[in-house]
Amino acid sequence: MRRCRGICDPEAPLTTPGLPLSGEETTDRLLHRQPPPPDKGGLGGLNYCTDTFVAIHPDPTMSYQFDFTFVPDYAGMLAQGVAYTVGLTVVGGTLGIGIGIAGAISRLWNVRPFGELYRYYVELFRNTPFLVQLFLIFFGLPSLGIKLEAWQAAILAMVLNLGAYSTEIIRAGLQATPRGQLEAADSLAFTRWQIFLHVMLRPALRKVWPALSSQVVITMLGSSVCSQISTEELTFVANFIQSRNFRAFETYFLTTGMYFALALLIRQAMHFIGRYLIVRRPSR
Amino acid sequence: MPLVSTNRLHKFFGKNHVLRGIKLDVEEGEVVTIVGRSGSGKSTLLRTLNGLESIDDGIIEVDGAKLEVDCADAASLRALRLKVGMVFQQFNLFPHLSAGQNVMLAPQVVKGTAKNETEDIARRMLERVGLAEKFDAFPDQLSGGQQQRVAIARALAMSPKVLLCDEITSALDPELVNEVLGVVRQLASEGMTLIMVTHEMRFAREVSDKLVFMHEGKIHESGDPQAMFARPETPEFASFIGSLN
Amino acid sequence: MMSFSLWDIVRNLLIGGALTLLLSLVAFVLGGATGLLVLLARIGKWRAPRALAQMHIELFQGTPLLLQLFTLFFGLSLFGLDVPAWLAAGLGLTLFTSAFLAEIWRGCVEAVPRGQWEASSCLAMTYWEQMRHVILPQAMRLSIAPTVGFAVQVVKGTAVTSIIGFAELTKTGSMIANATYQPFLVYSLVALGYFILCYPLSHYAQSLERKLHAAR
Repeated sequence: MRRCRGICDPEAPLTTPGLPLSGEETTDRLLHRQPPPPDKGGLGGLNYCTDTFVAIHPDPTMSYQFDFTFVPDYAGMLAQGVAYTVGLTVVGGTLGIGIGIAGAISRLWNVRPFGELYRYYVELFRNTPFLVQLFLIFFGLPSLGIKLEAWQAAILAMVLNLGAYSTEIIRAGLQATPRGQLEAADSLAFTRWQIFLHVMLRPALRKVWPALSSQVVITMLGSSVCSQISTEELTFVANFIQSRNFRAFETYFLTTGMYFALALLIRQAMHFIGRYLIVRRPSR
Repeated sequence: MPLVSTNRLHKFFGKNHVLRGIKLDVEEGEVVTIVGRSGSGKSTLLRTLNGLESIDDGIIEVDGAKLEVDCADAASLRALRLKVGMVFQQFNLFPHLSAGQNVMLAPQVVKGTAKNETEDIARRMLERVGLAEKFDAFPDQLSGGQQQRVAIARALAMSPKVLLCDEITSALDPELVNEVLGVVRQLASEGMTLIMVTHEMRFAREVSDKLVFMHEGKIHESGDPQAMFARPETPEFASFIGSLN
Repeated sequence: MMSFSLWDIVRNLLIGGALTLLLSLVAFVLGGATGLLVLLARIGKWRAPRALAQMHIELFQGTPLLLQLFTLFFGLSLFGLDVPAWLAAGLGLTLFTSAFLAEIWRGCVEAVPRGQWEASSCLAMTYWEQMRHVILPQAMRLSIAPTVGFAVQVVKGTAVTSIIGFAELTKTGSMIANATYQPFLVYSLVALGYFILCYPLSHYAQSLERKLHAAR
């Protein structure tokens, strides 16, 4: 970085005065364009940088030249960020839905003292922002002697947040079990557990699976604020990249697109899981 | 010249050929009942007559308003629908409007009639179906039979040339059927042109001038209802009558 | 180092809370108005606006609010505009809200039974006459509960604007927490503030929902 800035600094005597040239932008282009241009005599590097700049950017006050050439250099980091976000979502989603099932049962049958506890938990977590929950866990809990790593805090916040929502979603599904179904199961001498599993839970999950899937996607998208406690997920990576390349718009635009793709992917994955783990229709 | 005439009417649902070349003429003041097994295309035929179902071939003409395959644009649809009223099995009253408002809405919005005038119309129409005192009642405060009578009043308020009735008593409790049939009977006696799909065979025999038996998307047999019931010409119609009892 | 009394903390949080409330109201009102336009485009008969509306909805529902704010913030500054945080926050939340409300309302329009469309068609109403006099009034009744419910999401969404530097409740809380070294207390108070704003809305939405179900 230093080396380049030295060469291309518009203040430096080598540069023709009056050329519309911004040090940082040229630096980026030099830094991230691979491979370096062939040497054209003694000032090759400089020629390259001024030539390109003038050619594609004749008047910087009138137009902005989008530059995504940084992408290959940061591809590895971006991939890691995506993996991190996916990891958070998978763990958060699995445990969150687990908590939701337990919560729905406790609420529905008023299991003491969990039913009551779940009620407060759900109301608390559904009526406060995820970001504040995250801060309270990461910055607040240490003063109670509970010190968590950033990733642990992020996962805990995601699990608790999703758990609250899925409790309500699954409870609604369980409540919608038609009475006739229960009577039919009773008359077939199912045990209470069998009734719950086959007559209540599976149909309920099937019914609310689209809503649960949406909630998982919302949680994944919401996880972008985990960057604020330095969890190294996708948005954190984006912040890092734009602080290096000064291409904030391009970086965030690209990252937004990646989240969009991730949302589609997770929705598909949930659809797949729903089809094969919950519905289990006999294949035709 | 018949009031309603269709020719070469074809309709597909996907690959399913539901209407296979229907030719039907209805004279002014005539009461026509369409019967047939479920899936024979009788409801579809009725619904094509005011453009609720598009047609894939043929022509529909009602009192000069023409609907053809190639020119089923909004204007010709509107012209057709101004001549054709419809009453549904499920009533389909507007639940957010009172009975009176249900009847007033279309004249006001579609024809641009002044509000006090539409109110007069609405009161007259509700009186005609015996519900003058229910002007301000909302649909959910009315019985099924009453709702259906409001729906008839609503259709009549547009002074249609012909009224289509699609199984209008099928969703009613048995004890409410007669009040609706009574209104239809009265309309028939006043000279209203009616085309009905119904399962009330006795009623059909009593009020219809013409009975149309549909089978596999075609008009299989049609004519005077008394004669048809007494001497069915085709085995299909005979078996249809047989299955009724 | 300055010392803060509990009252100092609460007083500052109240100011931040007022900004949160203001931003929520602005986003909800402007987002509702924009959402109505998006809805009309989405359910209208013209192809191009319909596709655009759908894109708008999917884009803002399918990406993180934080990145929407970032992209907007830095995107607008490309045009040489110096974007203050409140503007980016207001604009971002408005767009976000409009997408969600448009989709919620579209669901309500589609929940109006088909018979209502057919009955009004038979009375020779045009598409917009049907919408205006028959479909939208009924959809509106259905939409009240989920719309109030979504207001909770808007209030919570405003917390994200703290990250681009808008000094609402969360941002104020962060600053105070840093200054007082009492993060647990401060963030608990912040959470309480959101709860006080959100819980009545959630509760109201739920009771509306129950009433609507009972009416059916």
